[in-house]
Amino acid sequence: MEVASFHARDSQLLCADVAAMIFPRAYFPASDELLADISANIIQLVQMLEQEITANEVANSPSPPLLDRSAHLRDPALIDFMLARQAERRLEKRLSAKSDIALSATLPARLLTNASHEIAEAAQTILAATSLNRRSAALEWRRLPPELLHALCWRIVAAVHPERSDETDQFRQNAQKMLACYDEGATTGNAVRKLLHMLGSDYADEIGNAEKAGLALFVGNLAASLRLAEDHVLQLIDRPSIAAFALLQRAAGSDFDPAMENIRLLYGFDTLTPRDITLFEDGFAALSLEDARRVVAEWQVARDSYLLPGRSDMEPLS
Amino acid sequence: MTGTSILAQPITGEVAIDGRLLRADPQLLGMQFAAGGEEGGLLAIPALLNIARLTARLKMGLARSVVVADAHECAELWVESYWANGVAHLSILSSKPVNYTSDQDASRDAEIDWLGGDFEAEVDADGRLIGLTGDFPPDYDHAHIGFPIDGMFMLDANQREEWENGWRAERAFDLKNVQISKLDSRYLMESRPLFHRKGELAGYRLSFSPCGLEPGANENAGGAQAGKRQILFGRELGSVLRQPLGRIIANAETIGVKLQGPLRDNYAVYAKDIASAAKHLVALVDDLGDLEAVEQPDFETALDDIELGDVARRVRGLLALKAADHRIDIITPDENEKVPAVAEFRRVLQIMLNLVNNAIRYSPDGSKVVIDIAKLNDVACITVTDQGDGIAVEDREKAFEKFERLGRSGDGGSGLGLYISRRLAVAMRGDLRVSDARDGGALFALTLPAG
Repeated sequence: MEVASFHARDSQLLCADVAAMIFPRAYFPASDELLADISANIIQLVQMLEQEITANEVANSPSPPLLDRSAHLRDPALIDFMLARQAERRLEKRLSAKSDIALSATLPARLLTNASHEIAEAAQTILAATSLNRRSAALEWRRLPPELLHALCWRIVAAVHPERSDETDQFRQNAQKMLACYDEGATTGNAVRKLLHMLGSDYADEIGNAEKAGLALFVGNLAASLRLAEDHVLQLIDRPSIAAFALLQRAAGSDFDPAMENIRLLYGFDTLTPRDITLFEDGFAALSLEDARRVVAEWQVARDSYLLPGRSDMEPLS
Repeated sequence: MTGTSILAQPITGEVAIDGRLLRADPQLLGMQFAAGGEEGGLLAIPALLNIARLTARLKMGLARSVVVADAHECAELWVESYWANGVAHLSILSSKPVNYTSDQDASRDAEIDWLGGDFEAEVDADGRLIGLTGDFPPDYDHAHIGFPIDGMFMLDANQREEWENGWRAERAFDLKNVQISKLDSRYLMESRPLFHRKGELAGYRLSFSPCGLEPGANENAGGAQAGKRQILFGRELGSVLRQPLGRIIANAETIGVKLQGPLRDNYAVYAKDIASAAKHLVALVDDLGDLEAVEQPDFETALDDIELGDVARRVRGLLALKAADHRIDIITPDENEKVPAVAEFRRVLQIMLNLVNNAIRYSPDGSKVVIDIAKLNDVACITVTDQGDGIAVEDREKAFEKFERLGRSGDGGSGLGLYISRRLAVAMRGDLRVSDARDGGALFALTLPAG
């Protein structure tokens, strides 16, 4: 029975891999449960923003249904951001369960005492985000990328306007204040990028290890070396099969042993099937760097073409 | 911090909503001038201007890394900005040099820089290289100075004679189609004698300018070098053709199996046809490369100690999937049966793959292909027997002729396989013949010197 269940899982994963290749745009086969989660998260976020803008308790917030009807809540960039946060939370939990070292021994924790204030501050932002993820805390609007927050914020102002037009000017001012106090540097993604920029090639070995670097820094480094978005890398790693993660590490030029260690940390050998291990052992060495990078580039193109209609930073600059 | 400088004091500046640099610290102003901008003018550093404009549009605090470059250096900067009082405030916190020139780029640059332009060599009266000027080839740097120039280029007999006569008579002479060692390009070499004031020969100034290979230029050259030059297809054109064909196959197969998304069925079939045709062309390229090689007068094979049973089993392994597609059994000798031979392993494998491939191609589905081995005195023999229609007696020698298809077409063959196989067999001091099998199919027998 055990063997049979392994093989059944193999077949299912194989189908998922093949499906991901045949339909690259449907790169993340979202379950109903996941979609329900994402919807709830988006509505929660919108309510949170509406509360900031209207300075009112949200009993019957008008913006979520309105924005939903106008398809703004199905903005691919917003859904992608939420999917990445879900992936991040799951990976963070998996990593904390598998990791042998405490959070306080990870690189971001050690960098808290760095002589450079900039580095220490970025490390603190990363640690705070890690802590929130591990506790599955609600998403804070300050973590949104600026373009997305800006678009969402003004859409909410527009959505509440018909019901409370006499207060629109006040809402505008509130929105402006809210945006003015936003700091992109305080977002996790940016803190990671800042840290990677400032650390240069120092700590390269540690940063290449998910356990020592922590998920955010590890993913940020992988994304930087492959010129992918961190959110894209998170979703690729979070796939049920290890194929995508193995390929990412190959494309980034990782050696076999460190790559295997990261797979152990983010998947765990207990959940790996013989197919996973064979796939990794045979495929990793056989796959050329160029081929791996070509596949990664194809994934990137597929994702870009999926996200392009939702890009709020594509408007002409004033 | 390796490579990254975190500035003790950030470099700051202020940019108006229209992109003008309103105020800047001296370092930023220096960058503005280096980028061709002016004080109070439009911010001339595109990456910084973009971040300032985005800050102005969103009116939010941004923090990003940007890459800036001038003619001499390139750096990644960490820039933070915020919007206040109608102005974008920029702060550069750190800088990391970016090196875009890898070793590979450097060597590629060298290749691009040297596109076979003109160059001159000066030699002394003893024929030693004493100077190089102009676009001399990358491999011929100044380390060759002081060494005889003879080794720098390859002359055929006629060119050699002209060279020696010219030197003896101390006169100017030109040589066409001179080949520089290790390079494929051909040059026109114009040689002008140099004299001391007393009138003695001081040496020669040799001017090289690229020229195309003239048809028949080396036809009578003779010698091993000339022979090697003629292997053009297999070594050069072959690889040039294989690469685009490989891409065609990969793309057509990707389309054919609908990897890139849904596709009308008939288009998928066309894509598979394209892939199949390209595979045929690749096989033809391989065959033509082999054909060119085996037709060289100095074509030789290695003398390895091989075992024919092992070859048979390897061939079965390599073609097992193809045979299974046609429900054909490939029967090979027992593991204990061994027939040693002296021949080049990969060439014997090539012949056997060709024979067994043909057997699968021309045998009915569900039949058998038998590979057998035997030793007769000092001859080792490996045979392939199929259950196809066989080859008529009058066609048996014709089957080994170049491009002979025996009236078959559309089966992916080039008509070169058997010709090449026999040439290879002969080169290994063996032979390849065909006869009738007992039950009506064809029997190909490859004989080789026994080990």
